[in-house]
Amino acid sequence: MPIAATALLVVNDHVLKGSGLLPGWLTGKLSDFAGLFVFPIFLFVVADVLTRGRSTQARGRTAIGAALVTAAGFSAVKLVPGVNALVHTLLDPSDLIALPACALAALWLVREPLGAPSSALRALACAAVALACVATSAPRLVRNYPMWKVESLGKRRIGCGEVDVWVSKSGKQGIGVTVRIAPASSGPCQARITRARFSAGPTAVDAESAVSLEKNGKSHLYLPFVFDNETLWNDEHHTAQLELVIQVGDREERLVLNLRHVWSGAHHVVERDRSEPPDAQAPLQFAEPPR
Amino acid sequence: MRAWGLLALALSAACGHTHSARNAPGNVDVRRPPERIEDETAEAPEDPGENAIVVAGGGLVGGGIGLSGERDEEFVYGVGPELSLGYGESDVSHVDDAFFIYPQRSYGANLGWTALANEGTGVGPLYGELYFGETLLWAAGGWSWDPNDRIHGPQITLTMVALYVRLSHQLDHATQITGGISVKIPHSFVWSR
Repeated sequence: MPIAATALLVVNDHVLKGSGLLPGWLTGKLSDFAGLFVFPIFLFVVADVLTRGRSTQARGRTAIGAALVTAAGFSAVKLVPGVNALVHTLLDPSDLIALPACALAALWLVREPLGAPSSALRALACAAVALACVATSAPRLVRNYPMWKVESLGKRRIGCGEVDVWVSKSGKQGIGVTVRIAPASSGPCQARITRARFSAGPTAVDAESAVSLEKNGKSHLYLPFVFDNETLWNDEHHTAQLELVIQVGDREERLVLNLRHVWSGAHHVVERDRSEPPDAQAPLQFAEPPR
Repeated sequence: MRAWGLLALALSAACGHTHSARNAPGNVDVRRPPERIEDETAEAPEDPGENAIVVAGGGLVGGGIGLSGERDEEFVYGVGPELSLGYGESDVSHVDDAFFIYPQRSYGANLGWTALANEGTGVGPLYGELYFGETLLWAAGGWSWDPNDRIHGPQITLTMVALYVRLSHQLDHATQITGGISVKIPHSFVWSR
């Protein structure tokens, strides 16, 4: 039984997960069930080696203890955010459905007439440890968010600088737009925004005071637009215009950029330990020539 | 056997969830510049959590002890369907490939029928309960009523994952403590907070 469970763990973690052969929820649960069966046996073997020569009753208690410790540890990982953060897995109480596998392991250990730990059992314990270290998590489908995206500007030379614009933040409370001005040539190149307005449906809002940040020799201006973006989304206003009047050096230009509220589905795939941004920026192009 | 297979198939098809696009944007602190201002991709918003309406159907199978003033303790059993409707909230949005989608906290009502029972002579007691659930633990309280025997009384049910314990008392008649397995297939209608 433990060898079969270990084999299932290996095949599931290294072949089935992410292969598309089985749904993600099923491969996730197979690992949980197999792992929760194998791990108490591993604990039992370790404890049995440390306290060799005990009675059958004592071994029964050890088996039940190993199952309880495993169940408690697994429950803590799946329910307590602080513990969960230590092991880099998802907080998912539904995984507790696999806990009966601990009871099965204890039952198997109690019923199996084990003598001193055999070499096969020791090998199984080692394999369980190794697998616990290298087991992989399947890609998980986590929540995706709609994001405003600039769909109409490329890098644009204005005066002494090259200007680029993108949406850095997008959420219920509004959006944040970053304007980057890179000096096109050596020498001083001052830039400032004299007007920044976001318009979508009935909403028209000016940016609150811009935050200026220097990074890698380039000037970044961050423009926060605070508005009720949730209402805009619910009312299906998915397009907007961003008007910017930028003065770079001695040149001032007015840019009108088209924005679109993009949602690529309720969920997106995230690999283990990776947090991908919900949506990448689309290639930028001018929609309207500056006047 | 085929009927059981078809039933299992139908139940598994019913176990699922439906998304709504309502309130879909995440939470952002717009006034604070992004951590990496030079990064041309948008910063991921914070998860606002989600709400859900949950419909769950299934059944309870259990047994226990019946206590009556007229008779000794006796073994009692109960088998029957139960339908639940509730509203729930979760601080963290669900993972879409989770085994089942169920809110972290939920409130609602259960309607059930103990169709097979050794107590009574007619269709068996019907009951209604209000419940509160937190993670995988549910507490419910309500009233049961047997239309044939015309007995009724309060009942309390505690459920953890798929195991339940129920205390029910028929006024001027008997008290039962039963426990067993509760299997209900949920379907959640989920939208963002």
